[in-house]
Amino acid sequence: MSSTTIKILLVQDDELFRLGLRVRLQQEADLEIIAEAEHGETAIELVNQNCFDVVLLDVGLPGIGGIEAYHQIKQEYPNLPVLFLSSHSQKSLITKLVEVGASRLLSQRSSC
Amino acid sequence: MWIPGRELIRPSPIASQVIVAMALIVTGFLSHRLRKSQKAIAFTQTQLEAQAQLVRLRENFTSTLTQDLKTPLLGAIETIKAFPQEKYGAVLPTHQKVVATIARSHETSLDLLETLLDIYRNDTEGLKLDLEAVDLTILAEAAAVTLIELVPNRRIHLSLNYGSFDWKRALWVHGDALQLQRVFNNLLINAINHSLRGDHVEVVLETQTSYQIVKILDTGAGIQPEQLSQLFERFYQGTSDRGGLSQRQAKGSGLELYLSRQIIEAHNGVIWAENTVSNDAIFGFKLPVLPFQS
Repeated sequence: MSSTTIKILLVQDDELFRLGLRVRLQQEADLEIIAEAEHGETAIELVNQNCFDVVLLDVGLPGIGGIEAYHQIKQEYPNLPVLFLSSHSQKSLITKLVEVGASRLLSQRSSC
Repeated sequence: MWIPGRELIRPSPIASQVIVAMALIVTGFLSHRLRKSQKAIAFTQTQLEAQAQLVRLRENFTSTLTQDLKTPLLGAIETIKAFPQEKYGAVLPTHQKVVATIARSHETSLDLLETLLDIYRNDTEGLKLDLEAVDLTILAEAAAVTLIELVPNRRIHLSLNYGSFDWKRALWVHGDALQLQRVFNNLLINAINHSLRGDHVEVVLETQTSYQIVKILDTGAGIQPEQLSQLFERFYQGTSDRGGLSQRQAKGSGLELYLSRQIIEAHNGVIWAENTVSNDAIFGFKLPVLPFQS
């Protein structure tokens, strides 16, 4: 991989969705999935151990949940872009994510 | 014939006509009111029937839809099973991994659909229990062994204790082992999902005079007081306005707690949720004791 590739951390607890997303993202030459995590706690550990360009973060994670994981990541790395993944399209959730400062929200329903 | 005083009791023709007219007006008014009320009642009844029919239609629709979703899933699961057996030719180890992921995911989806169908069936037809003498301790241990696989991954400690007793003891009830096993699994998964790394999940088994009591404690976020009464309602999803640590239903469909309630209530038991003084969550249930066992 060239140094210009975008290094991604993929955080999603559904293993099949994670697999599908990995397969699709790997088809892009300038994207590279460096690591995957099932939980927020693991994601925070990985962010501390590696250098990522972007974090793809699911909202509905077990344990600390996506929003708390986001807060903890942003506290340490305020400039690291975090994109939330959610299959829910309720306005209240989206408003909340925008409030906490999500850079972008990607709908899981979008066809790849 | 002469009737004495006849002239005196004869009402004046005008007065009687007025009375008759008034009576007719009152009767007309009353019958109009009655017709109006009857119409209103009939309208309300029609509305109620339409609503009940809509609810039935919606339930039937969901049930049919769930069944329809199940059919191709069953087909997919059977087809996927043929890959590791190399029925379609040689399979590389990397492919095996992908196929196994797809198979696991489909099994989870199937479980979810089965749960939804069970909930509808239990609501409409009632839960048919296969009753026998059941030891809740054995079920608690079985659930713990099954779910322990989840624990190292999340680094959560899972333990069983017997309240004021220091040793293992049997808790006999008259119950359906399979259904009660689902309750243990559901409540334990719920506790694990809401625990943080390093947290402790504890199953406490106690006996009272007429009840066997099971409590599942987790040291994750406590339950918001306004959610306590609603957690076991059908399809309750919880609120997402506070998010993060205070959100108990962050993950899960909301079906498992309602199904657990259906099962416990079918056993004439009680299921509840509470917070401890230190704001740990407790999900508990109690079932009538089956006497003269062990």
